[in-house]
Amino acid sequence: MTNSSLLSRLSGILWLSPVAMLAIVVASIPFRGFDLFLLAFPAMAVAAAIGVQLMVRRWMAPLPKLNALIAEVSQGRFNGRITEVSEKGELGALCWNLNDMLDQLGAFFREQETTFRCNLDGKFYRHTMPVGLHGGFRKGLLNQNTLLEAMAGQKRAAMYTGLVSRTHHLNTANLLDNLASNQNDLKVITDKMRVVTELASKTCEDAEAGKALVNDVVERLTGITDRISRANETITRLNARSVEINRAVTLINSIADQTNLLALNAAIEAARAGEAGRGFAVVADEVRKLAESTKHASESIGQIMSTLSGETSYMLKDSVEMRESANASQAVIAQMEARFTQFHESASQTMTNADYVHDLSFSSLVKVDHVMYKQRAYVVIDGQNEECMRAIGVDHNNCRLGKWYNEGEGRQLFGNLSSYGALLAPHAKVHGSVHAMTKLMDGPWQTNQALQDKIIDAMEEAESASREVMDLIGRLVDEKHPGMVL
Amino acid sequence: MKNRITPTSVEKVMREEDFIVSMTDLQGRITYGNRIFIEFSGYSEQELLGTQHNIIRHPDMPRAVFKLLWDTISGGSECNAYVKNLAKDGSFYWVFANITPLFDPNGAITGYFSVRRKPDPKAVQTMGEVYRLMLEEEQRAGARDAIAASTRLMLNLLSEKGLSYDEFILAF
Repeated sequence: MTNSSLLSRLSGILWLSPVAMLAIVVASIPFRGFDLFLLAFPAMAVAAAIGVQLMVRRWMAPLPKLNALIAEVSQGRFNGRITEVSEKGELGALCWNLNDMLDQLGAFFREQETTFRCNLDGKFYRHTMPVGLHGGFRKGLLNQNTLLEAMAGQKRAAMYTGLVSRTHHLNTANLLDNLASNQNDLKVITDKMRVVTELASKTCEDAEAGKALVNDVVERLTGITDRISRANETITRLNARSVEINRAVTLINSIADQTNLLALNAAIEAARAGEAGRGFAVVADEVRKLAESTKHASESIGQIMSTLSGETSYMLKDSVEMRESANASQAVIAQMEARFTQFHESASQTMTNADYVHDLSFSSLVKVDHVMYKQRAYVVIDGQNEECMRAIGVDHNNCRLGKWYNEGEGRQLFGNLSSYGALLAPHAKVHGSVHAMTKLMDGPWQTNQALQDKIIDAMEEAESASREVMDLIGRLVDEKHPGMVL
Repeated sequence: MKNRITPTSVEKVMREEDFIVSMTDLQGRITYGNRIFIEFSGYSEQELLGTQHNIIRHPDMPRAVFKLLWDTISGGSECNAYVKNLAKDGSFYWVFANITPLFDPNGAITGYFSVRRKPDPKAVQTMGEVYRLMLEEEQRAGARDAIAASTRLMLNLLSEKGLSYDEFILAF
């Protein structure tokens, strides 16, 4: 519009001179008469006007394009350009400068938009490229890089916090269950240990009672020995007495012999009659003495006999007591047998309980190991930790549980139980999932939400397999000690 | 016409403060080229407008690069690439190209906008070597399997480094 009016105004001015010339020629006719030659001037002026108008029209050709383009730019659209610029003068330069300006603007906005979008998508490596941009555009893009870096840092931190908080959440929930399982184990161990202590104290009591009984028996047996030696002494004494009796009997025999001789003498003296009175009196005196001796001897025998009867009653009494002692000892020994039976039972119960407690405490240790393995995995997620990284690199054959399972007591003592076979797969899965997690951690999880989800998935799989492992370890012990389950 | 140009070993080096800007329609015909484009390509504006953009394609460039480029931008994403271009006089110039789609107000792609900057010399050296290997692979595989073969080569290289194409290209 401006252009056409500008061009028409120019045309107006251009056409003024031929019109004025024509007017002068027409006005001169009354004074000088019609002169055809004079018409040549307005004709030339017309030709000049046409020529100039065409030239101006060509020179100004870019103006409507410029106008349209600037109008478009003012609407926020930078994709238009002016092409086929034939004009070499100021207008041509204006067109190229406008193009350059739009190139700068276009590149600037594209860089800005692309880098923001990439940053939001987690492609933090895409910085703005200020090469080729000028002045404020360049500075703007450099500033944007600072901004992008800060955004990336924030997003990385947020992603880190996100992962850590999700794993902590996962960990806390499972750790509590794991600890509860160990707590339960410890509770059972404590209860069982109390039973074992009670059994041990009972065993101790039984042993003490047994010892008292043995003392009693020993005492009784000592009494019997005393009595036997006393009986021996009595018998010795009796023997001695029987020698005395023999002597007495010999004495009586000699008395009898002498009495016989005296009787013979008396018979002889009686035959001599006469003088019988005096001699007989002597014989009678001798017989009297003999009778006295015989009386002494029989008294002595009577005394010996009474002593003998005393000793005999002693011996009888001892033998009665000895029988009682022996009877009492038999009762004590029966009691001792009962005590020892109890003692044996207590000891074997103690052993069963101790065996169970041993298995349970070992299984609890294995569980703690297993929980620690997972804790190390969480530590690795928390921040790279070389030591934990190395520790969780172990596979399911070489951790404590794996070694116990493959080579140790596990196979030996539990190998024939059904829970034993079931343990292998979930245990391998715990290690497998944790290894998968560490591999994923090598990736760009700080920018990639999907990757982070995969990490959480791997840990959830590990936790779920781990629950199975913990459960199976518990069942393994229960299966081996069916009578022990409280 | 473009095949008649004999490449020479004369190199033109881009300046830090300039960039080449060009636009094409959906078919790759040039609709705009800035003065730096005119200067480096050696063609006049009249010669460039309406011509296929591959008028400046250098025979040292593997075809797979352009396949990747077109696949990427026609999908609506930006594409960054180191490219060796052929000028009208047979000389060559390396650029770091950033090509983005042009959208109309309805979000439909109407053409492409290409900004080509002065490349990092280290990147030129590396990519020159990569392209040489890819080109050899293309020549070995024959015309029909050329692109697949050299693409495989590039993907192997990237997976060895554990990087995406963009990460690799933007890391220089």
